[in-house]
Amino acid sequence: MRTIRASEIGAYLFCQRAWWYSKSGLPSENQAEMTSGSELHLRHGRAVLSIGCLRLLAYAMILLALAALAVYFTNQLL
Amino acid sequence: MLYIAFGFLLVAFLLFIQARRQRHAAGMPFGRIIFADTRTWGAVEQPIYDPQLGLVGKPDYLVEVSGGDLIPVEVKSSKIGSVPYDAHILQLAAYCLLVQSQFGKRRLMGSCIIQTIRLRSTSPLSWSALSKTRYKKCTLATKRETFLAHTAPLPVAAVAATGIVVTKDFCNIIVPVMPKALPEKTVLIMAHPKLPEAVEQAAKITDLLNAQGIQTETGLLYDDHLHQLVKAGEAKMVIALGGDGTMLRAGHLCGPYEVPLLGINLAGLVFSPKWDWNSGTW
Repeated sequence: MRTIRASEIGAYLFCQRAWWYSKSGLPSENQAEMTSGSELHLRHGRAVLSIGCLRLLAYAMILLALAALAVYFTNQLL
Repeated sequence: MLYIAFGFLLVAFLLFIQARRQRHAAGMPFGRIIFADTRTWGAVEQPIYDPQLGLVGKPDYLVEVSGGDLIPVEVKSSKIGSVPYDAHILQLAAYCLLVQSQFGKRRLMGSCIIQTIRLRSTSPLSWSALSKTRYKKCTLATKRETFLAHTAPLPVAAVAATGIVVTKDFCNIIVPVMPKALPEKTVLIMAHPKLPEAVEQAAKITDLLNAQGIQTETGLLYDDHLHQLVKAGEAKMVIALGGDGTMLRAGHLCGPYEVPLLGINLAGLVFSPKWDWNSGTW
């Protein structure tokens, strides 16, 4: 049994002829659309990364706030 | 110092809100991203492989949500309506299968993010651009009727086309057999519905072409299935029989898909030359 890719299933269902051409090694004529799709994935990836960075920054701010509170209460006690 | 601490807390709060907004705009489920195939940094993620199914794949993201569920997320750039195509759903179903086999029994959930407003490829992604971008999110939970076998079977055509066999629990995927060659494209013959002569001649042309071993599909000018064949690229050429309006309509249909059109004008009062069947001349 030949191993198939999950994306192949989508491609096959979307257009059997395009899937067959692709499997036959023929390059797609929709290069612009394919490039645009890849760019979208990269942009989305960067957007998701920036979300992670934002959350990381927020945790850093909380740590700084805790440190500042610790300094404040230490000064109060001393 | 106390003010500074509260300042930091306020900034942290605002950052969390901003992150939540951005995540919502990106259409991502809330949870920990344990797999991302869209990044350009770091090591390339290894695909998930199931030798028993003969299936391999990498979803765009794999998100672990509260409760331990893993959600494969697929980003699609195609502009479509409010629901994803069956192709998207079944691709996601395949990812769910892989996740299930790799990480054990989990609830079958998936998320498909479909871009509904295309970002300009030339404009850099900024916070404001991202927040203006809307992604249509469709969870498979909302598409249970086409996804889960025990509630309703998958569309029969889709099952037959992919070799996806639906079982009670889920679906097994059988490799689609690659044909040595696709069937010859079809010659479409379209006749104007109100011209009896056009319908009659269309039938004659069909018989003639079939006798030559040429695959044909005959119908009326407005038949939807003929239009679908043109749009799907399955039409070798279109023969249109009717008047000037028929030629124009057929031209509008064939033009965008670069399908050759042969017009045979049969109407009484026409601007284009009329074909005389008896003499065989225009």
